[in-house]
Amino acid sequence: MTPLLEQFLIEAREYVEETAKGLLALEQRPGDAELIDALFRRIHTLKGNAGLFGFRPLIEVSHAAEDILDDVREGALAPDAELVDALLQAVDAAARMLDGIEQTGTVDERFEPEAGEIARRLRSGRLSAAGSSSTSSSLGGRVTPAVSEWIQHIPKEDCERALSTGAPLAAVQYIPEPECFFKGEDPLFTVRQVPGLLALSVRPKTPWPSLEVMDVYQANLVYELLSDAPVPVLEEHFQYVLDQVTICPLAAESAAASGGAVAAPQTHAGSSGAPADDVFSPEIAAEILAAQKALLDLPATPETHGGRIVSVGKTLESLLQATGRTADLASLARAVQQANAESSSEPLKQWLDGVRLTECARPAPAHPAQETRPASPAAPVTSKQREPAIPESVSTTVLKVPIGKVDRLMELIGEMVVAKNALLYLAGRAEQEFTSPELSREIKSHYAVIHRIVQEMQDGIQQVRMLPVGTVLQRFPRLVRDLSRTLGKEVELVIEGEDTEVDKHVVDALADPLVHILRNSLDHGIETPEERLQRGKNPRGRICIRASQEGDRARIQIEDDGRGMDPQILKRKAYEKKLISEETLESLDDEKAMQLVFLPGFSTSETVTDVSGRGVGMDVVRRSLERIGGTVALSSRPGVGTCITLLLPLSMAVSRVLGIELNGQPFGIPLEDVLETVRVPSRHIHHIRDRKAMVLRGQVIPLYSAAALLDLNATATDEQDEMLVLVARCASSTVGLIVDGLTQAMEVIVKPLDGPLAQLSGYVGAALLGDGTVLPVLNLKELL
Amino acid sequence: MPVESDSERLSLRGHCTVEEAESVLEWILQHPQGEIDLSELEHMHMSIFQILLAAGAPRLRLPRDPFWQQLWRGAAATEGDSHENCTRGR
Repeated sequence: MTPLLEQFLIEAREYVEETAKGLLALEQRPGDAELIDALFRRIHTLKGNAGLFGFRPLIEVSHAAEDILDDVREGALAPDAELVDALLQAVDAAARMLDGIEQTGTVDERFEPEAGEIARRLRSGRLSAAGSSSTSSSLGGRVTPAVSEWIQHIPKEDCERALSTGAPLAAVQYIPEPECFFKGEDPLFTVRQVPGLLALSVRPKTPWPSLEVMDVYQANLVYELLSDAPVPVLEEHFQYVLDQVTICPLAAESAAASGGAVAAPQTHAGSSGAPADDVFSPEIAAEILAAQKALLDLPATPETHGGRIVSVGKTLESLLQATGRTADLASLARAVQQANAESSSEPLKQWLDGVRLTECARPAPAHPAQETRPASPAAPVTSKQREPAIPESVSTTVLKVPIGKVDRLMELIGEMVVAKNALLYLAGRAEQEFTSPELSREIKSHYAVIHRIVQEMQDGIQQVRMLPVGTVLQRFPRLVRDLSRTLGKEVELVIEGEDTEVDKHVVDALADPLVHILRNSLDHGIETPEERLQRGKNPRGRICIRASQEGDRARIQIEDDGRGMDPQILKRKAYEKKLISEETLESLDDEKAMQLVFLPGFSTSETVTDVSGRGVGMDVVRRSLERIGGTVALSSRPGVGTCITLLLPLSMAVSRVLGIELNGQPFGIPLEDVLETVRVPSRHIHHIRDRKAMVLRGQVIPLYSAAALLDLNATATDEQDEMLVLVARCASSTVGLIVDGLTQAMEVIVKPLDGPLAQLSGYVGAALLGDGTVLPVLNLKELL
Repeated sequence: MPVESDSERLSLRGHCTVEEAESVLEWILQHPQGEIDLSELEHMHMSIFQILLAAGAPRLRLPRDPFWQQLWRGAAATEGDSHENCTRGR
């Protein structure tokens, strides 16, 4: 089981449990708006999470429950015992599905029919209640007032054309969330692609502000449309924004054009013809009949009359079939025929008067009571449904803890590490000041014990904070899909190593830079399919995100096979923007030229595709990664593709530094930067103009005097026979740092410099040592 | 560039993404009576469409694709109710 799935199960169980509790409370306090809200939110989240894994039966059940709760929230449904029963049944089914998922990692197929059954039952309750609560107006009272209002917005001629097809229609209202552009969504494109789109209207959600202050990145439109595609197809089309969409099935009726009234839309249930036994309460049947009568009583023009007769006839036919009164079909057919021939609704009206409503509403004899139905594949499950709804005690061994508490623990342990180090100093003093080597040894052995325990504590708490990078990567398939569709490109996203674990803060800080990098790749890296074909590439582009652990760092690589970057163009652009001088322009090699994209101010509208238009460039990506102790490197080959490599610390709290001594002062260097330390005879140091360099295993390494870099009085290093050189990694190159002495590697909590010191460049921060010394920790990249 | 403009006309061509939105708005602010030519437009991001709606763009040349005709009809049909309480840029 993947960690993501584990997380899902933990949360889903919690939602299910709380929903069950909440439903029971709802029965006691049906008017508690807060409670209803909470229930709705939980079910909504459960649906969303289930959607992430594609657990269809679970989605179906939670979706139906969500719809019901939404109606309850709107006041369209009263949460009576029957409704709560149905919801509880849905919740129980969800709990059983979760059990199944825990065992097998997926939802058992046998749940599919059951889920359908539950969803139908929930929805049927919804229809009957909605129907009986509305007045039997001339519109038939079968559609919530909201839906007929949407339809009013649609241009009349489009609407009539759509309704005249006679096909079952669905009305859709889509209110994109205001921030949706930031997710790479283009609701207009989604609307344009709606299957079976027949008519639409669009209007601002809130009145337009004055253009001068308009926020172009805020979505402010409501789309209302009619489609002849089946509801499941529409649901699939809107699957990623279902929470922003309301879909209502309608049965087409002829438009009662007179007086500008829009057609009387009817719910789909009446004309579906399915023998849906429990859908048909007597009230519904009576209501349908009443609606047909009302329709026939409406004045009609000769053009609309024919269609109306046909649709009323169809509805009645379906009703007869659904209620099992097939004997009356023949007389109905005759009435329809006559009505058509006479161009009058009288024959149908007479037929309707002849039908005794109560009779029609009698429970269908063709479908005997449900209990005696032969065993279907869902039967075993059905029997289980009748068991008392007390959830089996699942021995949950997982705790959900607010991150703040874990952070606090982490801080404490960090302090413990420092306090522990004080013991070493104490041992030193015992030996030197009090000349008691025995005591010193004893302290040291205690230190070793505490050290081991602290280490384990630290490891343990770090494990708690570790999250798989998958938690941040999982949103990208969606982003890539949407963006590539908007851009008219075909892109395949491959994600590898999503179970690599890093600290939660690192995961959090990773999201924005990754989004940015991906957008760049999609927009500027990957070519259009035509262009790719011309270049002899697969028309489908490929972006690969690879995560892996590399020592104490996590490596994330984003590689695309797009057009790559041309160093010449980059150089020219940087020069034009006066970011580099003319000499640099000529001396820069290709690899260094690539790094120009990281310069602040390099990004232009041509290189930045941040949807927000904030002009965020790669420099921000680099800075935000460096803030969490990460690095970013880029390599690219024109025509072949670009690869961006992020190296991130696995955890952030405790860092290891190597203590160095410069001019009698202690400093620290992050251990991850240090490659090795060597002693070099002075004569092996080469002077090139005013620079120094040495050769180490065949590689020329530039040397810097650390003291000079920090403007300390350089000690007379040149006169020494031998120099101590710390070989370190700095960006992508290797440098040597001449230091006076080395102390030891230690674990410290590096805190960023604050106050006036925050302006100082060249330091990562400072740490407090066990003996109270403040240790400035150097930032080599900034220093050099 | 999918967006081209001079002092009289703004032309949107091909696929216009959200990145173009700001420049479209800017142009409209500067040329409230200018013509907006969408005849070669394949798709524009909703953010741009919103701007055109909000601006009420008086001189508009629509794309050939019937979708856009339908869309503008759909927008015009609701104009009445959105206008009542709407404060336009101009």
